[in-house]
Amino acid sequence: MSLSFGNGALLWGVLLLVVPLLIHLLNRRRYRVVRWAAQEFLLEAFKRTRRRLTLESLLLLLLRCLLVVLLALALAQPFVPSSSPLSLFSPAQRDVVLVIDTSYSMGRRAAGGEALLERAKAQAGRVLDGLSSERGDQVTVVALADPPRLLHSVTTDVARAREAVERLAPDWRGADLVRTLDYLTENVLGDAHKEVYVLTDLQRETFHPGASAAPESAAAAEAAATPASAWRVAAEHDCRFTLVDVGEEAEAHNLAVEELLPRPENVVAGEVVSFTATVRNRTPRDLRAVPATFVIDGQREQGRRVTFDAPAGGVAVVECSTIFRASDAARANHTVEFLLEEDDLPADDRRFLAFPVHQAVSVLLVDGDFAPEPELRETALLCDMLNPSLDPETGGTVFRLRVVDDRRFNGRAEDPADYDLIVLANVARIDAEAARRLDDAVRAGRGLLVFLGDLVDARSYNERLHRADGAGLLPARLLEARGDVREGSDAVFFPLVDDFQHPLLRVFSDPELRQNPTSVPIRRFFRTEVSSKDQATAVIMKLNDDPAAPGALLLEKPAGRGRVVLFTTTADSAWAGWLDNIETYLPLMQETAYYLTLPDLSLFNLKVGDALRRTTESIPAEVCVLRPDASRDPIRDTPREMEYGEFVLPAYRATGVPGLYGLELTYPLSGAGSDAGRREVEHFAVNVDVAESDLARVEEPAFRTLYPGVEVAFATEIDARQVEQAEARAGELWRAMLWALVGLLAAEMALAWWFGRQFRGGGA
Amino acid sequence: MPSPMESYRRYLDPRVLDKLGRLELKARTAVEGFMAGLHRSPHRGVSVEFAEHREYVPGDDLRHLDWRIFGRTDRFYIKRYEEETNLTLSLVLDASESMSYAGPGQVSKFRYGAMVAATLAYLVLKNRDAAALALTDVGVEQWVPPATKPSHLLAITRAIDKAELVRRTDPGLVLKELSAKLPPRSVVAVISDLFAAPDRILAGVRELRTRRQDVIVFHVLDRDEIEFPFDRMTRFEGLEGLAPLVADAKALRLAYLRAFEAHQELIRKGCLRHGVDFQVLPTDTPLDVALTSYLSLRAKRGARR
Repeated sequence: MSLSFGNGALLWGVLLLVVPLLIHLLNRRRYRVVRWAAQEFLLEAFKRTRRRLTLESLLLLLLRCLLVVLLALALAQPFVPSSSPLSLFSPAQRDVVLVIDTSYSMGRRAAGGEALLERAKAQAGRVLDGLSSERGDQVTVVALADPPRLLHSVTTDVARAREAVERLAPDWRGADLVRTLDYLTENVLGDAHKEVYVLTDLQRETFHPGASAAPESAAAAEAAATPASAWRVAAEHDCRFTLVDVGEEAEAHNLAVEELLPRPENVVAGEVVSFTATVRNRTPRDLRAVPATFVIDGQREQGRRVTFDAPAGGVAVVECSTIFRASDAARANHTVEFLLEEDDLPADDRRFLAFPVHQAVSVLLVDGDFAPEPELRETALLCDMLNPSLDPETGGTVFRLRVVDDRRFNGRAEDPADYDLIVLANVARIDAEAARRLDDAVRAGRGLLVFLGDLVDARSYNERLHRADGAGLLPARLLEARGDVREGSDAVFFPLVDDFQHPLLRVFSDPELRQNPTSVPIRRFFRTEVSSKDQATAVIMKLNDDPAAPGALLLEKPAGRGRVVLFTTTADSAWAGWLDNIETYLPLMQETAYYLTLPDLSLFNLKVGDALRRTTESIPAEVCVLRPDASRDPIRDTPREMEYGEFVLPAYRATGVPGLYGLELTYPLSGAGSDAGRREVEHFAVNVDVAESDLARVEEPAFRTLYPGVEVAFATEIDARQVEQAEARAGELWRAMLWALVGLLAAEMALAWWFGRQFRGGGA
Repeated sequence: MPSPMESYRRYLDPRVLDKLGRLELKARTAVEGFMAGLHRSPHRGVSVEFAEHREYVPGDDLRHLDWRIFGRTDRFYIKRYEEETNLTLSLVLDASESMSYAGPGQVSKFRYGAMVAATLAYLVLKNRDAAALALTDVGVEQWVPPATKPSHLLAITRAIDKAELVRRTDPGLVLKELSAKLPPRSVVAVISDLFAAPDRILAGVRELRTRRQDVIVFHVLDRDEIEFPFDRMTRFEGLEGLAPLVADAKALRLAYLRAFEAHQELIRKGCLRHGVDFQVLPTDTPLDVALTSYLSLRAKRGARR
């Protein structure tokens, strides 16, 4: 509690406290003497009343002391901040909390061309006009944002609060109402009465999150329910909520770029890649020939101008194709921007993408049944599937294959980290060192594709790749092989598919193609066992060998940043009828290889506010972030931790503005290997959350149904009269103190009279 | 040493005596009234007419031993005779320290009590009855045996003069001691402020009653003790060795009055139970008024009896 005084010197008056004390003590010493005969009755009376007498005389003394102290305090003109419990006695002071919505929808331009946030600032200014620092009025400014921010902590400095409000600019993010209310509950609202003004556009995304999601989703319904309870908790404090609606009723001209992706996502030099932008038209009318620009690698002059039509409320997909040259693959990564002309809500009119371009996808095939002649190898058919066209006219192939025998792999002649995808085909066993390197490589982001066969030593796989605790790469523990491939045996099993939406099987999701994967005869396979604790492993294709416990044909497991796919049968036609089902095998292998080598675009593409993280193989001498406005922001910290054999650079969190960021890494000349003296820039794209671009609002009636029992006043303008009334009620704590003084005086007299009356008694 | 006349005057106010004398004339005799209720009983005393025997107790007059019975039975018996005098009034005057209290402008309780004693003695002697006086504190300090001659009044007032008022009271002990000394079937007037344990006082009264004494208790009090008019911080110095007390008198008043009244009530009820007259005599009440009213009340009652 901070108590301040208008006239602190008068506080010395508290010392007058000794006056009643002295009177009390002197009174005890000044007595007359009586030689008294009836002493025994007096002694008895004294024994009986002593405690009460002492108490009463002390009470009176206390009251008198309090009187003096209060008088001294009152003369010193004290005033207290409203957070203090004493403020109850100075009702004239106002304690205002301004909660200003800074989500990017507040950047919307209203009819007059002014942004909604400017309106909010103007209204906030009116609230501040009604406050007076001299009176001890307090103000707190909080941004309704994600996460909520305290812009101006509780002070009586109204001018500084005004500055804080004036400085406000829209965030490039949404607003989290629940967190903001929780923040208010925990840090701002207290016992003292507060006036809370929430200045907002009442966007549905903020006030009814989940409303735009599928209504049947229970999670969305729950999310929609939480703000009400958070609000109720906040409203339990002594406060009055006023929602100041600064929103715009008129329909907005608003296009939002929701997505920008490369197709295919593994961009390989020499291959055609098309960038697709998904644009939602939130304007309630069809738009024709909307101009837009794709900018590739920042070449603005060479931006590709396109036009598209967008139906009202619908989505338009805009494409732009290109081919990256082999020399482009040398760069760390590339960028694409998709730009619309600015509309009423500019924040969602641009979208950025950063992605790597590969020279090719390098694949290491470890062949357990290796032969000098390529066509006799275990992996012969698989190689054909990955490189189907040997026609040089079509240019380079996506997959660059290298086939080695298992001795070479186990003998460390090959490093799995040098490849994007490693394939094990009928490899008998893996030694411990090879398994460790494989583990590191996969977890650092490579793909692993495992085929089994007659040479496979299940024990070695279980021990090295699956491991006793199931934490290894292999998705399942291998049991025994089932089925018979000898001549004359007609035992055969067929795959079962539950979900065609899995990326590996999506190519077969067309009803006409659905029988393709399920008609491949599988004559022999390894039965497997997925640990019950293993939540990550997914069985993508089953077999019809045992209706009660169907065997698994295709399993998948994520491992670190990489993925592992296991086929429980052979890569060639020894155990499975792949050769007669090329129309299944070819797309399945292509999809699998793509899937396992998909770049993790989330490494380079962040949402506003996300931390930028990067790992490097060696420690760079300098790290500098190139911000979208071309300023440079060096990171001075050095890596402190390692992940999968790489150094983790300190996270960069100042990504509050959308755009293309660069991470400039300069390696020392004395550095290790190929990195020595190298300087490279890796691009990162930071985008806004498009959910915020939906400008639908929660109007007052809808608000009342959404937040039943929450007491909130609605306003579009701050009432000037209210402000004047507040001004009229000037006063400080000393008034309350004087009243208390008068009360105490009356109490003292009444008590003294009452005590006296009691003793005098009516009896004699 | 004051002259006999002075000590005489000190306790006998001529105006009081005048009033009482007139009362005597008007209502036949106040003293007869005072002695009423005893008249019909046979009185024992030194007389020719034998009344009864009783066993000898040490201190009895050997002249009254019945030697014939001694010769027959080897036991000492005292012969008792019908008394010629009608009555003995034994005055028991409290001379303890507490009796010395006097409110401002008032006579002390002892002085007032002495006046009561002297006046009653005067009245009794005037009627040729016997009067005795015991000045008491922890024990019987002075004993003036009963006599009928008018000059006996002087003996009584001289004894009163010698009172020292320094000791505590123990009425129980005193009355027990007296009950053996007093002639039986006499009237015993106890004049005291009764500042002692009620059960001790009542025990003494009971002792007297078992000896067939007619007991009158005069409770002599100062007005201050009845009303406690103090209202300031006061140091009360206890008499009779009680601890002093400094207190706000105003605050103590109610509790004091309760304790005081409870004490008086206990004694009053006890007296009533034992058939003993109990009369409060505040020292500021004129003696004639106090005694006249009491005596006429008693006379009426005696007439009824």
